[in-house]
Amino acid sequence: MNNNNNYITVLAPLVVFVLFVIIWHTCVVIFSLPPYLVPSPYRVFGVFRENYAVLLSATFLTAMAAIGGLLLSVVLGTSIALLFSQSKIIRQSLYPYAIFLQTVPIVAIAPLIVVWFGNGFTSVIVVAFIISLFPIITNGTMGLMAVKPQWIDLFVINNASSWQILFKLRFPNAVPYLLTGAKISSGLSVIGAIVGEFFAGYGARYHGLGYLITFTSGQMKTDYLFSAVFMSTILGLVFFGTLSLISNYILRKWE
Amino acid sequence: MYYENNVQALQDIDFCVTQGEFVSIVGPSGCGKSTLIRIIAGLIDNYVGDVRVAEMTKTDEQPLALVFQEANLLPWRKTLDNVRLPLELAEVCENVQKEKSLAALDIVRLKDFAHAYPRELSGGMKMRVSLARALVTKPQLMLLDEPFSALDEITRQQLNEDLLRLWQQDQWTALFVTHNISEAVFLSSRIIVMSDRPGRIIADVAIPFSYPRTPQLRSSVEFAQHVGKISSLLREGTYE
Repeated sequence: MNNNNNYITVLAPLVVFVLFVIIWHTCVVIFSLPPYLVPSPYRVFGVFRENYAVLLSATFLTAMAAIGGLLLSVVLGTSIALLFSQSKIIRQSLYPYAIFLQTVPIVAIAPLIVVWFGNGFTSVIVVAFIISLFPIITNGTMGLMAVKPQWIDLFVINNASSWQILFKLRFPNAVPYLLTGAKISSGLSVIGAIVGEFFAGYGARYHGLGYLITFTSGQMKTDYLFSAVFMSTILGLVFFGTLSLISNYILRKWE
Repeated sequence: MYYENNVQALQDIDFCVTQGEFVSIVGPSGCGKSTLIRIIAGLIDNYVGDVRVAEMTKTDEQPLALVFQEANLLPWRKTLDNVRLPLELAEVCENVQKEKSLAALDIVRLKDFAHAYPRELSGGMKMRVSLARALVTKPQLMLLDEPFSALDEITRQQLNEDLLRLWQQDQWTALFVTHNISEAVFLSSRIIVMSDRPGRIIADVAIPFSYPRTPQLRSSVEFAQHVGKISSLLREGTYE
């Protein structure tokens, strides 16, 4: 029964994918769409085969920048959440600025970040970091605060220090929340890295997916653009999938 | 003692519990029984009056432990680690923590479940873990705030018998809050009856049955008479 279900979770999306490619190809043929508007799947695959070395190395670089940003946001976001959990006045005075992270259009401040951090890897990581920070802060703070009052009583009766309440009660309680935040941020970090690469490069020899996307669209190499977009999507999926696996593994204790 | 909305919760509460006694407090819901327990436990401090818990004799003993209405276990900790918590917070050395916790689990007959998570245990088992966690510090005074109220009748009676066995073994003092009268009569050497809000003491009844008490006691005539007596006292206190 369970095995059967596993089959379906893998098979069903694959069937949808195959159907999608078939419909896409049929549309291109029937309406004889020009390749600079909508290239056929066959063409996209051809481009991928010719340039797979460039595409794979670009995907790898973008992935590295996204991982860097995500790790930074998990570490700093958790620290900020720990700080927020300590007092209401801290939360009230700093929370609006945390929301700022969420509402500021990342495309608008990315050029500024390049001015500050230089035209390279660091800037891309910083953009990925900024965009993925907010879900960690909010989820983490929520988890640290959502502690049953009787649990606090239990700790107080046993003369626990506020340090012990924070690290033996609030933090373990926040772990599932933090992991949910990290899952949301995993997709965002890939977006952040690609947006970062629109503005910052890795030098003349190495490119990220963001660079390939702007470059190929400028040249009207739509088939190439398609394969770059395709790789970005795969990257986001892999990130989300990996985070889900990690989180399920850790949460075996909690659920 | 007043609640935040200025409703008086307790009034003229004055009683004394001798070491080794098993005292129950019964009263209608909302009469301030839990508030009283929380004051004694030191969880509430905006009250007028004086609470004294006997001075310590041995240094490794905690003055008091509290058993909550729910088992109140931390879901991410295994049974053993839940029992260990009070010792861990007191920064007792790890070997001693483990040894004492296993001993505490043994007396509630749950040693085999030391490495199970709370979600894998039944309601009654969770409550026994909670008892083990309270007992692990060897408290002199045990405060129990309606600990078995969420359990079915059969499990409750079973745990009542377990509780008496543990009490006789270790000789702590018990202060047990409940609204179940027959539970109170079965367990206690003394029952304090409280009135409706603001909670006052309206009776202090000695229960003469000798220990150890057997389950057969519940079906005796004297037992029923005591339950009847406490019930009528409660009714008077509620409708006067």
